[in-house]
Amino acid sequence: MAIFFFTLPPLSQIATIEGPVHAESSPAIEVRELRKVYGEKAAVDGLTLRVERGCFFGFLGPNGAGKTTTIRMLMGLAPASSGSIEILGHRMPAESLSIKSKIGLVPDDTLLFDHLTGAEFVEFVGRMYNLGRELSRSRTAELLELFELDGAGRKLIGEYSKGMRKRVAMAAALIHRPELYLLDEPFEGVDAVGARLMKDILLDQVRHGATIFLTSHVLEVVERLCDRVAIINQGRIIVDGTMDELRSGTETLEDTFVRVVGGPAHSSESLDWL
Amino acid sequence: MGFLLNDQVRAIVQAQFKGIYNKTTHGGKGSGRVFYWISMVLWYGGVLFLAWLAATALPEIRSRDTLTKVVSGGLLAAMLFWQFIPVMLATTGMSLDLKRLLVYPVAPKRLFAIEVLLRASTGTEVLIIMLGAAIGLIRSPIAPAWGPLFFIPFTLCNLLLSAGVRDLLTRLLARRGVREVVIFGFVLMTALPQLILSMVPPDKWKNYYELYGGRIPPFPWPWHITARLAAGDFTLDLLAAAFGWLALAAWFGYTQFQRGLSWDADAVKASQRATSSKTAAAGMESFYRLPSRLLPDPLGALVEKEFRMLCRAPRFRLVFFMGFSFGLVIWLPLVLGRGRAPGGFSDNILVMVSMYAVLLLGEVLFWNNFGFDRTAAQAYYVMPVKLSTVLIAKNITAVFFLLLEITIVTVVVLALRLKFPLSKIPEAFAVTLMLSVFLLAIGNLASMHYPRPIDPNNSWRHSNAGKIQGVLLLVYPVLALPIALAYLARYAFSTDLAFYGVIGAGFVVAVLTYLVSLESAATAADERREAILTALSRGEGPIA
Repeated sequence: MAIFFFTLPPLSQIATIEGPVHAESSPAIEVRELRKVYGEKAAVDGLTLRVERGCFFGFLGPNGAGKTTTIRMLMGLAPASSGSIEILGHRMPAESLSIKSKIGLVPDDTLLFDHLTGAEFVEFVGRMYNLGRELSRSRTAELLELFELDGAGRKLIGEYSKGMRKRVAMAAALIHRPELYLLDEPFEGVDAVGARLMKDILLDQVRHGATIFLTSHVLEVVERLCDRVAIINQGRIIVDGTMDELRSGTETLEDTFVRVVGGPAHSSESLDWL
Repeated sequence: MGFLLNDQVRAIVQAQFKGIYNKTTHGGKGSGRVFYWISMVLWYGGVLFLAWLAATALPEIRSRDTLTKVVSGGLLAAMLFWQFIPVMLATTGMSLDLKRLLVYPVAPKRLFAIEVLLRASTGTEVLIIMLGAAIGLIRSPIAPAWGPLFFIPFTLCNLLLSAGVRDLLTRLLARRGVREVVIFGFVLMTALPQLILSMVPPDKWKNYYELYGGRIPPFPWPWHITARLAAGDFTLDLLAAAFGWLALAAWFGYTQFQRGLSWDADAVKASQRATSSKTAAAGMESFYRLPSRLLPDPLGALVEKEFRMLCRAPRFRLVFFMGFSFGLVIWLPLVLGRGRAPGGFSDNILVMVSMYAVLLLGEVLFWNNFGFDRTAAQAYYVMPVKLSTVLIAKNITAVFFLLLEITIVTVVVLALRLKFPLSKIPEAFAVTLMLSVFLLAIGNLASMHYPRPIDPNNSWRHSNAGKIQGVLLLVYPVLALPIALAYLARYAFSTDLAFYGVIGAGFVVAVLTYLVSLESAATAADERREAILTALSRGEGPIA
């Protein structure tokens, strides 16, 4: 299902600061030997990754594997201890401004402004991407209506439920029609209708040439949406391939995930009382 | 000017003001908005009055020396205000965190300029008063008309310094331990003037100044040199000093701001975890386990959970620390001043500091039982445990920490060698214990009828709702009655027996009140569950 909002031309016709989209053949994301060390522990340990343009990429891993740290480094929020990051042909952090103007983010909770209303926040984000006040305002109204947040009125983001916070973050991510989306658990806490809407929008964006980098714990969602998946564990990529490669034979993505990450040493059967 | 016309810059400044407005008016709704506008009119009315005062009073001064002193004092006050306000806004969460803008395409150099601009926008009061002072200087017959031009480098110096101070403090406040010390230092500063006034009466100031003032080497402080330049005392070395301060502030502000942008809070937490002592952790674990050894479950488990939660909450740690330090500083002037003679205030310092500590701890121990750890509130309703048991667990924890606080107050007072009869030690415990039981009884009810969300990680954020403040105004005088009666009994019968007799009777009444209120509070908690959970979901994010 194609979702059309705003009266914007297709992504391929939009000219950006750096020139027309797809003018470059570089991948959307290219990461080499990336490391992030906290104290004595490496949260990300020599991560190498390549995400082609137009790809719906799933980035999976167990809790504490280094997913959020990786995405924070890609967003420019956390400096890498070593290694290199290239996004849409631009090097991070040297050309971070060019990168930031082309990416849309659904970050973790901490980047939302709790003391603004949803409308104020989305309009603010539009203006950060130099859309101008009028265009930001009109797109904000359309996006809030689309995500059914227009009824929230004067409610501050700090008073939103988790699902509403994700929806407002998604609306803000879409406002400037980015080339690359970095989405950290975008469906967390979102109801089925909202999640379906978000999925449809994202698939539509991919069809128009955008790239999506998604982290999620819901493997069924990843299985249905993504065409390529990487699994990270203890800061290292342990599997990287197409969805078909990962689901070889009768194995589901969940089977593959549990096998490569290493399931629990004991099953519930070992607990006599349970 | 081009910078100011940029839409990104305007959007950021507007977001800053909207954030402050929304926070102050609770989303710009109803009575909040009315209160906001009334307070704004009063506040800025006062600011305009001060500006008018400066504009009219400065031309009346006929001595350049006096003019320099007056302007110097005013500029010092302006500087303190300018450095304090951004810190206050940051700690109340009203200030826009520019680190969050890192994900948007805003040039890093522009971010610093925006930060400086935001500092100007949060100190408009100072700008208005300085404008008044500038008009006053222009009208002054003894100061040159170009004098107020030197306010410009002073203002810039303040803005740049303020940007740096805010960033430095944000990083300091994120460090466990340092945060409590820094905030305690700030709070203590507010009590120091009173202490100084009591120790050194104003009539002796002149003697002290003559004795020690001459020994202090003159230092070209920015407010002083700006005042001298503005009053017409123009020399090249003063001009160099003014711009030297400006350069220093620019360097400090820019380097601190850049450090703040690249600062990684997660890395700091990770390094703190790595350096924390295993022995200390084991000691704390034994302390946390103590209730479970003495009390049966689920009460033991609930009290243990309270111990863990409170000890890990920065806000509780700060208030507990303030109870025996700030409280003492507040009451010390009475001992050092009028109460130096036997009897009077000095004899009762322990009782007063203990009672003050109990009242101070109320916010975190009993006035808002569910709100202080609101993430747990939902669990109490779904777990197979009586709500009265939950309240008893919270109250046992409160009594434990109150007694611990009074013990520490006693040790500190003894360590300071303040002279008072030792019989005041059991008296302090008896009075505060009786007061605590009464307060717990009312606190349980207030917690269920006026729940409000509090962030236990925020050490300095104002949290009390207006309604609960009203309740406190009614409750405290009533609770003071049995204590006053006890002292009256001792005065009338000249025996401690009468005092302890009244306190004992009061204690019995307190326990009976507590038992009745406990049942009412548990019923209210059950009946008002939806209202309580809704109230606790507001403000600072949803219930986890």
